[in-house]
Amino acid sequence: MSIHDLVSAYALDALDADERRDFEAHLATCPSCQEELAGYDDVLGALAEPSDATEAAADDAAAARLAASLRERIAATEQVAEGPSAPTAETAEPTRPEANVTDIRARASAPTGPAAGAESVPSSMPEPVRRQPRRGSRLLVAAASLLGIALAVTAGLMLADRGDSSQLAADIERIRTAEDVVEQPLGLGEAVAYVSASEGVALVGETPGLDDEETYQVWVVPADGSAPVPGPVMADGDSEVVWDTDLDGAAAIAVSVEPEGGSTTPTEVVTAVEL
Amino acid sequence: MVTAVAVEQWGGPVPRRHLRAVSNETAPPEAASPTLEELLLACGRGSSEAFDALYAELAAQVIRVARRVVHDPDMAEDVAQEALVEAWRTSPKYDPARGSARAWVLTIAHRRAIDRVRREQRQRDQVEAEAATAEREAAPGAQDTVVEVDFRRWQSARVREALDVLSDLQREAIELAYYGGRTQAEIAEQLGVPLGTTKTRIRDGMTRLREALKEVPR
Repeated sequence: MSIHDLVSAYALDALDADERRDFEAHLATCPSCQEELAGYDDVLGALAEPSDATEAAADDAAAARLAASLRERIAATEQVAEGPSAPTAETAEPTRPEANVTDIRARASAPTGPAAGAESVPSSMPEPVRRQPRRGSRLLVAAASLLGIALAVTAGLMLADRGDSSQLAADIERIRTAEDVVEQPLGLGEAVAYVSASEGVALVGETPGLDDEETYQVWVVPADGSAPVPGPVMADGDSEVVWDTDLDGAAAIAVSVEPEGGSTTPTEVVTAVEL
Repeated sequence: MVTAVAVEQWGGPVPRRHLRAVSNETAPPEAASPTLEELLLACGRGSSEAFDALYAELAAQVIRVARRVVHDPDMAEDVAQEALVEAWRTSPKYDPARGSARAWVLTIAHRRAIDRVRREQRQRDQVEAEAATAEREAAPGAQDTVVEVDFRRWQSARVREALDVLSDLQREAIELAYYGGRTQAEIAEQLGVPLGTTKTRIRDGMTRLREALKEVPR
């Protein structure tokens, strides 16, 4: 079989990652494969047809129900650059002096549990390297469950409405100047975390570069060991993200590397700040 | 009506959130409603209005594709949202020469759903998984056995009719790939048939399915 014979398997999404990459490279230069691929559009559309009117109605209703939250997530999602590697016009601020995570943690007034003296995951991790972000482990999640504080994290979180950049800047300022704010290095490039129980979380600054298909995502790690609560995604490079979330019962704010678009459970936690 | 155009360039330290639609006063008279490809390209230029229009066209299909792979309705909605965010995020890279907008978005949903299923599987009891594998390996030579899974309940009458044109083996390979999220190599392994055989079943089956769908009225 030649590579041309893979069109239908590609359309059906039945190639493994290597085959898919090879085929896509071929597809870019093969008009006949492009034309054949277009011919499978109706097949894919047909496979996504509702089986009956009941299913159609249910899915239309689900789509309508999810529209508002999707719009919110879209507004908070930075798109990829069109070209292969768009140069960054704005470079990072001059290097900030590396603050000590432990010092700052001591300033935090969050409740401490029996295992609060456990090794600080962030400070035990190696320094991040640009283009090679730390691939942490699930240590953090484990550490959080060790804390064993039976506080429930309120699930009903709200993503901040960041209609435009001035709104974003205002939100950051609001959190940065909150009475109970704690500022600490995120442990990810030069980025800094501002955490306020009353106003939410802001992460600001230069983060290590990621692959095209990857993004950072913010999480609240509940102290009771329950599943981390997904937050907004955050671009690599110079980025700012605000999350108006309920920190009651939270043990830490974590950042993970996720496939583009983010996930609902963390894939690879790369840093965390304990509260 | 989607005539929004990006009026700013990407870049700057603050991720751009919203784009302003340019005034319509100088715009040419509204043409026929935009194609999905035009909408997706406009998404790629940052138009959230285009995304809304694309969402209206495709969201229900995305949810269905996700559910046919992950089965659980709540998880499917979750996967669908992730897929639609990913479609928005990567839309600047969309190239119409590489496939229709519908296929592009639905494929993202399909891959996301497979990723989710695999992640869930990894988290499941390892012993159980090993037992199942052992059982499968204990019964080799099960060539050309049609796996008994009823995918028909997820198929429209039109798709069922079109799939009936295929041989059972072709239909099985396509269903395992689409609903089972398996690659050609995984299907070959699961069915205990040579990879080349599986590839041929998928290729011939997809060709017949495509032609059969042309014959079946919508």
